[in-house]
Amino acid sequence: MSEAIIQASNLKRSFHEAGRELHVLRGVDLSIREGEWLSILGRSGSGKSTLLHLLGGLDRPTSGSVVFNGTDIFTLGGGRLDRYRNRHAGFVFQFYHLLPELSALENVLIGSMLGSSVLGWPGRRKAAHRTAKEMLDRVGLKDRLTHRPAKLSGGERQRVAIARALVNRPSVLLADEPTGNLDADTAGSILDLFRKLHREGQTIAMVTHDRTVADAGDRVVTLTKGRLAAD
Amino acid sequence: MYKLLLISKYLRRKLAPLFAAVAVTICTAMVIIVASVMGGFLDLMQSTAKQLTPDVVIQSPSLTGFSGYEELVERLEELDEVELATPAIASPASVTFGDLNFPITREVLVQGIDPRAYNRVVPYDDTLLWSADDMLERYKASPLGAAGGPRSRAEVDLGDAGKHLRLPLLYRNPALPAGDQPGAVIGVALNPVQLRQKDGSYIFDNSFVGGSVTLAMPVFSESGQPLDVSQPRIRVVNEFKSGFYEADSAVMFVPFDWLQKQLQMHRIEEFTAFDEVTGLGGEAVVRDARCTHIYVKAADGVSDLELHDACQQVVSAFSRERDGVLLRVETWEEVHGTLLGAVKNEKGMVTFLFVIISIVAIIMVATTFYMIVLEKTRDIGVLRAIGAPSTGVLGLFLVYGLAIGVIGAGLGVWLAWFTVTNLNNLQEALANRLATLIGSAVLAAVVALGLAIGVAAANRKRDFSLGAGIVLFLGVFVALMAAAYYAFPAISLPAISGYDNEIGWRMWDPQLYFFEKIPDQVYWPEVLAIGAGAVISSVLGAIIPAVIAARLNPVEALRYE
Repeated sequence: MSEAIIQASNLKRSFHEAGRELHVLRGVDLSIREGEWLSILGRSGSGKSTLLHLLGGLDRPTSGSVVFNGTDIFTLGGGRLDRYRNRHAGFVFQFYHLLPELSALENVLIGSMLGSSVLGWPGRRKAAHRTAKEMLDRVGLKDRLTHRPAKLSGGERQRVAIARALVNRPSVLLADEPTGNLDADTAGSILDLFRKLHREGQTIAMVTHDRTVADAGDRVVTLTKGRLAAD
Repeated sequence: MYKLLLISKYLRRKLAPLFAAVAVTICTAMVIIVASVMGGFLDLMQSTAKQLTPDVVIQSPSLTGFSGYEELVERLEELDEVELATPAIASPASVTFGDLNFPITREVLVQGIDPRAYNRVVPYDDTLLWSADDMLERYKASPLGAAGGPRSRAEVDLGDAGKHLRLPLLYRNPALPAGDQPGAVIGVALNPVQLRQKDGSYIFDNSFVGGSVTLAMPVFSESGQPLDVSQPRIRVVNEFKSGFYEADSAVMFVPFDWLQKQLQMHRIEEFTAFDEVTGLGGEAVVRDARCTHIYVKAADGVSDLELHDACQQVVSAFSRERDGVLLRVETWEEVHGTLLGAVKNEKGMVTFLFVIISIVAIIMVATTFYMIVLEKTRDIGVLRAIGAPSTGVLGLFLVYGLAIGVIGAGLGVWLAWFTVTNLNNLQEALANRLATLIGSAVLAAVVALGLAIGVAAANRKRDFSLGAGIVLFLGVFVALMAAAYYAFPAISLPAISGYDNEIGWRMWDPQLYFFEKIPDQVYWPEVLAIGAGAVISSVLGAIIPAVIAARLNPVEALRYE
């Protein structure tokens, strides 16, 4: 059994809405082991996305911790948490969230650019381009480099989003309903891509409301009423 | 690095920043054009006012003038600060142009000057309007010329007529020495028959050169007692045009010595009347020569104020020795203080108004940026999700504001420079070629629109943006208009140009105004300051939206609809 690279403990998150406190996560304990494909199953509004955002350091919990490489990421300062998101957590969203003005290649490259200054970029440029092209090749889009999102199909957009998430070779790929906006065939091809990435050793945490999709993973946990239960 | 990539894309792919940049361009150009024209107007006014006003003027507040001026001139010329001092007399008078069908009498300030010395103090010779060639033509047309008299300029001694304020050979009495035959130079706008042409020029045939005028000047004793009215007749030998209407319409120059005699201000030695009853009287009395003004020119490198202070000391000492005779010492700017002050105030007021307009521009940029931030909210969430720090998002929008400011201000400076340096051509085109201009603009717009639509259609598959279309349209339109503008003399569109004379619009009428040209100088230090102000305004306008963007919660930003 490989070691857990992310360990969430007693994770709670509540929101104030219309004068009421809404408890979305009520104490989640979860570990993600290196190389595994974890599926988090739950209904709409069950807090799946909130849990994923906390694991990726995009949101802060009301209480609890997310330990990565022995450090609670919420004790990190703003800059180090940003670096965690950039280097260790690769997000893939249901609605792709590509930047519409950029081409497919630029959408992937921007992840590399984030860690580079204007002066440092010329030295890294070639390598970054090579990596970005490799990632697009890996997701089967090597002939779509200059296309902007508006000129790509839904499946192609999601592939670009996956390539963007992978460009900095993150420790974990955090996928939020990656097939939720796609037809069955396209969703199948995206899952095939996830399988391929998983075989190559990529750690994946995926949330979904679809049992069939969830079953593609190694392990499935279900989020109900703010708490996790193993299948 | 990602900021530069995104900014370059946003600038090319979005209309809002294009509009923001255009707003900055127009605001910048507007402020520069107004500041340049107003500044140019002030400079032109100062330089024309300076044209006939010496660095420092020492003047008696009384028409009677003051005696002992020769000594004062000597003392002034001993100062290191003074290059030259020359006495002058200014007397109010009426001047009657008697050679006309209907004699016309006007008010005038007669200035008695030593023309050679005066020309060293101010560029007097340069203001003389008619050349020796003009006068030679008139000489040739005269009975003397027709009778086969001298033919060359040198022979007829016409060239220096106005410069020396004496009669040229044409009008001279051969029985008298040349130096005793004075001539007058009148302001071109004083001449009642000299009307300014449409283009602001004057016609020699309308000049009063060769005509005689009669002056009527009050004569006072030094104590201020009116003695007489002097009514000499003098021939006009040239006209001057300084460009300063107050001088050109109300001043005439005559020789100093001649005017001094006419006003009985020259040195007079006489005997008092002999009383046959008492046996008293008959003593010799000397009345010293008087003048009303002393004109002073500063030595090289001496400022007007330094010269003023040095002269003031000498004049104060002179006054104390002369029973406190009142003399005023003024720099040329003080002499014209009221007029120049008014223009300075106007410039200040206009600048203030444009500061307010600039604040409006800041608000406009802020509004545009706020709209951009709203539109880009989800992008901001994505950037945060893939690791962009909030300071990075702040920097992105600030640099974006800076880029829009630099582009807008750069184009604004160019537009202002092009407009200001071509204002007179533009005025000419609007006045004489408006129909051609409108016709060319319509044709250029049609061609540019056709081209833009054609290129857009051909590039549909490559997602040709509206912004690129607008930029292409404007580029082609401006290029065609520039080509038409420079090719105007060659353009002949009979169907259109036939209306040129009917619809011309003259924004600056040289016939009415005393500056026939619109000031067209660009003042680069001012331009750079305004351009920098526009850039800073754009960044200021971007600050609040940028802070809002940086403070956005990334999760909420991702969910933004």
